[in-house]
Amino acid sequence: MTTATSPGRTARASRVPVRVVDHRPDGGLVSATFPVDLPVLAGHYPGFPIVPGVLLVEVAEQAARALAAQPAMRWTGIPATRFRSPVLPGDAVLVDVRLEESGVGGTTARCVLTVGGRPVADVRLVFVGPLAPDSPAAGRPAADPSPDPVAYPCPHRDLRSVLPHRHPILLVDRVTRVVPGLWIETVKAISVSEPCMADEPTTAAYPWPLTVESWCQSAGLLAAWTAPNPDVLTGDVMLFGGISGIELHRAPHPGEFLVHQAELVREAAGTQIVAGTTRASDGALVMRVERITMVRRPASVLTGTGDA
Amino acid sequence: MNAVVDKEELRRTIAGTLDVDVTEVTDDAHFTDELDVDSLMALEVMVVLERTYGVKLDESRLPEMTSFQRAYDLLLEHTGQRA
Repeated sequence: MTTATSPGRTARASRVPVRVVDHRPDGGLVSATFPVDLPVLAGHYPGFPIVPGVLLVEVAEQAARALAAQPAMRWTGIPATRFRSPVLPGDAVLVDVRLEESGVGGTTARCVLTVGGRPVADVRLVFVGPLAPDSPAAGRPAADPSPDPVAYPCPHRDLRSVLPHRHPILLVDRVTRVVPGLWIETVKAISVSEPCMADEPTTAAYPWPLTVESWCQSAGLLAAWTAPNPDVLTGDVMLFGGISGIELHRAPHPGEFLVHQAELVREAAGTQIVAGTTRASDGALVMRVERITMVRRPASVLTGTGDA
Repeated sequence: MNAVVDKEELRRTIAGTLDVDVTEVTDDAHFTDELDVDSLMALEVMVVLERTYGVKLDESRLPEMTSFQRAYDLLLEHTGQRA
């Protein structure tokens, strides 16, 4: 049993520290605790703090890097992730990581996250080492999931009246075009003044988990556009069920806009399946999302008591 | 024109969607009891089948889709390939 800390290559104030508790030839065990005063929890959600799913993905990413031979390897995708049970403030998460070679210089990390033996998420990530020329996905044509539909004129609406997310984790600035129930286009401006960039060089890339979260909030805006859900205490908690086939392309940076497009693929019994893309202000493909499953659940269902 | 349903191809598609090994998706393996499929994943499987085979499946048929064989049968019915 060895003890070590993560490489700390991108130590960020908003990032939860991870600790290697066991190293195996094919991976190991890493622990991380989400402190109750984690700033992001104030906005996710007011009165009902719950750890955002993307932070579980981020902890898995850090765990994989902490155990990998090349901690600086480039993160190129999230092939599959299942969120099984909510993680609450104060929860200590144990990440069991299995690293496998995939392709030339590539690494796949299979991570099983548990809290006190209770499965909370299965996360699969792919990385390409720094020597690999590019992601396997980079050569594919960057087609959007569907051509732009004729969008309805979009009123400049206060997004806090639609979504329950609040500072510092409300990550959409504006809805630019929407076809309610079908398709949405949103914009998020990335700035060095965001809390996550506070301790970073201004040239640092915006964290991928927050780009994913920003896209997912766009999907949430599409889902909630005609059925607003601004307060989880009187409405529902919005949760991820799963992620399939996220490709990470060109990393976005402060000073750029993210332009998200999301298309509702299917909706049934409070569950939505949404697909789409993110591009940067210059049109470069940032991210492609094959499929995300979202659910709305009353807070009482999650706690079993009806209060947090 | 619907795609022809190749059973082993379908098995690989479903295994990929559920992120399990293809050998685990036996004909009669129960999705919920043996493969840990919840209602969200079942809906995902349905969406993937629709996209792959160009059919429209009704959510009301979801409860019937309890195993690989049942999913295969449902798909054959919708693609008009059932004997």
